[in-house]
Amino acid sequence: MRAGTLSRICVVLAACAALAASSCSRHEAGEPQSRSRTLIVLAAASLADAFREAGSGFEAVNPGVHVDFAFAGSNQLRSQLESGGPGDVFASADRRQMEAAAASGAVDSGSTTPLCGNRLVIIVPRQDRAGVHELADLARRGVKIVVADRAVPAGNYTRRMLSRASELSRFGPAFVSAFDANTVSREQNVASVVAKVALNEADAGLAYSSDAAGGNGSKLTVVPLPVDLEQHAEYLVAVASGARDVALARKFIAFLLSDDGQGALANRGFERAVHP
Amino acid sequence: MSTNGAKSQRHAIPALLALPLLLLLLVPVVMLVVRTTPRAVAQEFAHRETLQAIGLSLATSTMALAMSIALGAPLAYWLARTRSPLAKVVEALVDLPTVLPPAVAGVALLLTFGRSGPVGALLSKLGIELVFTPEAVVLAQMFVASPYFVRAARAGFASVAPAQREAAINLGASRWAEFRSVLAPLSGPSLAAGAAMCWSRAIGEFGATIIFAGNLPGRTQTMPLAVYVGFENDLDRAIVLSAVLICISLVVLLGVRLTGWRFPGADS
Repeated sequence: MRAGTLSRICVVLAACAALAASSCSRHEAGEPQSRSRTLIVLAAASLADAFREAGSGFEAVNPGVHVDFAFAGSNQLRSQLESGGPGDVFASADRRQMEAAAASGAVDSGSTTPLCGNRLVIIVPRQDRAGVHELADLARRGVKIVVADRAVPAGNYTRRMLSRASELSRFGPAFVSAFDANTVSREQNVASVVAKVALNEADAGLAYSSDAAGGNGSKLTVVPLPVDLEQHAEYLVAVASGARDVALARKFIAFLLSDDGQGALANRGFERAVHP
Repeated sequence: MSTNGAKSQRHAIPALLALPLLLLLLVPVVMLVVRTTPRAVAQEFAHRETLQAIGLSLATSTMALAMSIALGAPLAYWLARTRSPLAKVVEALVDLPTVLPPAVAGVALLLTFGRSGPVGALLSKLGIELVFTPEAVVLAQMFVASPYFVRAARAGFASVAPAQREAAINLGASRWAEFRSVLAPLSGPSLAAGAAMCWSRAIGEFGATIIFAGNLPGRTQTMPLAVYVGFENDLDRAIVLSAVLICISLVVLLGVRLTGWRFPGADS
């Protein structure tokens, strides 16, 4: 009885293996003319929508090429690359993470290029019950603010904005301590900040202007920061040192910098890259 | 010698087969404890955020346990006594949170108790907002951990034969006396084991907490959250807090076994 069960399980497993093998071989046989090439792109979570669009555009003009994406916090992706994880292209949401990746040899530092820009903004839920119209409103008692943790690029920009504000006479240290007292959560990525504001659980959050152009955009209102406190996020892209197909990786980066690629980024609220 | 040898041989094969799993379960835990140096522990314990996380975890998980017992015991009692066909459905529903991914639990809690959710909107009118508060941490812990207590308590109550209880009543005991002298002592070990499991699960809760209660040191950042945050910012803190969590959980689980409380379903 027990042997019977075991052999039946073996038959099922063997059948699964055969099925998997046949689907693999069919996959290979399906693209006979140009050998199929796969590009692995590791990109900051905020780039997800724009990169998916750019990826399909790239696949359309490069038959036989398949682009796979991994989206996460730039710091997580960098440590993946550094520990030998697979990846051909790395796009980070700030210079700090890209420089760290270059320093550890995870990316080819000569290939590093500015990709696009983004801007730190205040996001407010559509049913703005706390009445947040400007940065100063965030110091009012009882306003619930969600920020990104300082380890995340968005949180780093938030801290920088606050330390600048503490030096300005119309804000000052009192504003910063009121802001901190109103902070109800330090999220581990900017997407969680956006989600909690979009769900109307927080009265305001600090995120990127591109987030307001994303899937949750219709649930959010954007309040810009005062001009003297603006924070520009600089996104960079580079070829990973472990890239298996450096030529293809370079081609993808060139595509991102082309009008098609920059158009996909602009559609999602990103600003054009500033080339030095 | 020959029978002894054969006997030990018969045990040797299962023991050998058990080794890979045992190693998988043990080695990572040992690695964490080995990586913890007394100096790192001393350093981390000087940090206010570390102590806050430990204090908050102990307070919220104890609160979650107390509420799980207060609200879970009546439910377990009903499940153990009822002949209603509904009971099977209720049992399945009670077990559901234990198999749900904690992130799912967090989203569900947010949609219910968030100020846009049905319960949350009502509370909000009364001036109570739960999300991002320590109370939200307790709720998240109760959601994932109380089923462990209910399951154990139900089995404990069910193991007391009705005849034993009737005997007590026939001897003139009041309901309360019957509960105190028959039901409580006979089901006590199960209740205690369930409470220990519930508390351990509550103190380890992570996914539902970070979604429903957020992450703020001193307010909602429990030990598991501090470990997660520390993993990215400050690995030493993550390792020390992990080791502390492991020690606490191990003491509870070992205590349960050494004092002979039994886990329902584990041995019967």
